[in-house]
Amino acid sequence: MAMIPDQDMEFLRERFSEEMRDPVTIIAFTKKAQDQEGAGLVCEFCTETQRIVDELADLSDKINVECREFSPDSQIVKDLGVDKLPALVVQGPKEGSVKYYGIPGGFEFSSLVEDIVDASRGSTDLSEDVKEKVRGIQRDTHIQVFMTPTCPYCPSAVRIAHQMAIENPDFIKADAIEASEFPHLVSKYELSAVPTIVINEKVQFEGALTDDEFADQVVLALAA
Amino acid sequence: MSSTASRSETNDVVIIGAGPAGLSAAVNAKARNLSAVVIDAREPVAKVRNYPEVTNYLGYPKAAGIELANHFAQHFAKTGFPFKKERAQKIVPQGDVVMVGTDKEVYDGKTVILTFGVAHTKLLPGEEQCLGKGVSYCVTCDGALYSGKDVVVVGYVPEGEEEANALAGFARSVTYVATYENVETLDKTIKLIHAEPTAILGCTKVTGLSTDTGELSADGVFVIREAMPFSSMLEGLAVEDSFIQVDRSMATNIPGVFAAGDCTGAPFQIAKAVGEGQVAALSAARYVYKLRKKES
Repeated sequence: MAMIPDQDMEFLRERFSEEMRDPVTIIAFTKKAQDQEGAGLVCEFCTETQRIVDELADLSDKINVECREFSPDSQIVKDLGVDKLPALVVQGPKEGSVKYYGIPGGFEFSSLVEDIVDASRGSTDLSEDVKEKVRGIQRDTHIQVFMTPTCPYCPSAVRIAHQMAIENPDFIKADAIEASEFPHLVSKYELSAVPTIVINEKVQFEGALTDDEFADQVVLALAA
Repeated sequence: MSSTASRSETNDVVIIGAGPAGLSAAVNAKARNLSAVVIDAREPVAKVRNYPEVTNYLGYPKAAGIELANHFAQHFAKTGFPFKKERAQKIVPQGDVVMVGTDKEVYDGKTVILTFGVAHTKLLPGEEQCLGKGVSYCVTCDGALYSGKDVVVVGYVPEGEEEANALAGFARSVTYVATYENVETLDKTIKLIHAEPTAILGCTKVTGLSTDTGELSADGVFVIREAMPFSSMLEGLAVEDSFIQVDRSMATNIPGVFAAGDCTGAPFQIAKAVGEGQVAALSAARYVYKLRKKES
């Protein structure tokens, strides 16, 4: 059975054809089930994640999917800073700074679709004030957004983080992380609600914020 | 996979509450050719339905509540607007759009009309401080984070039972604190306590709940109420004596957000709610027309 429902496929095909400008590459890092055990890895949703991006690639000539077997020592894994599985890196015309860890299912699928469109255009609909704030950031910034696929508030947080990364890919990297697939991170960050946002391991906050408030938190984290 | 290919289209109006004010706003929004969605955790006109008799609504010298409620619901049905039986939890203005988050979805509106009814909801001591540190309102969102943990669910309304049942799938233990009498659908594995909660315990991280019958230790406390306090739902909303402050056009202090009915203050009467619902819808229409002009 298809991961993307039929009625959505038609809608998405039209949307991509109308709104995408440049090609977008999604690099999918997964690991085959038989190889996971030896490496001490568990990737519950590698297969499903792979299927979702394969189906997306069928919807537009401008969406390319590169499948990579995850190997911690490979250069591309190091270059892109991939450290969990499954991982998706959405690459627009500029070097990718937009990542998903865990299956982009449920509400999160809509974020992935929007990210593809934005990455393709190399621009976002953040307000002008926020864009200015974000483009002014000149220090390495790592934003982690912890979400669950059943959380209706999470896509907006994921989107703002990814939009910031698209606006300023040289300095901002943004990860959307499906919390329930990574219990060690739930413990590490003592997560008790989603979305929870962690910036440079310094500032942690939760809940739905406006893009302006979000940008302020990023600036605050950099000053900390 | 439950997929949402894209966030649904932006509505001209998102109406929260399906009582007389909300449905009147819907009917008048339709008359102004706006698009709208109506959200309420209960069925439309649930409160009026239970009134034994109404004697001061013009044209109905002696009407049973259920009779008026049925007329209101039928009139609303003619608008064709969708009704979503969901609990509104968070409202976030984002530029020219206002996001309304429920326990299931997020709706974008160019405007929002708040018709919450009377809700004298107060937060528990410690609740605000512990938000994001173990206090949650959304099992659907956060339940998975409590895998293998001990959780308390405070149920002010029977819907809390459903939430507790869902949590039982993740948590090591679930204790349900009911503030009402008849608990009917709670899973047998869940410990039930009838008590009035008095405070959330723990400052940097939730450690439990205190009630009038004793303390319960827990890693997390889910609070399920009929409605969230206005101020925690929409930050910055001007509220005085538990009522939303509005001007004569039913506008609140937040652009694009209007309010009508009992939540704006006394008299708590159907006629007043219906009238305010109309004014709010017409004001929302003016706001939407201005936005359209700006966009074109």
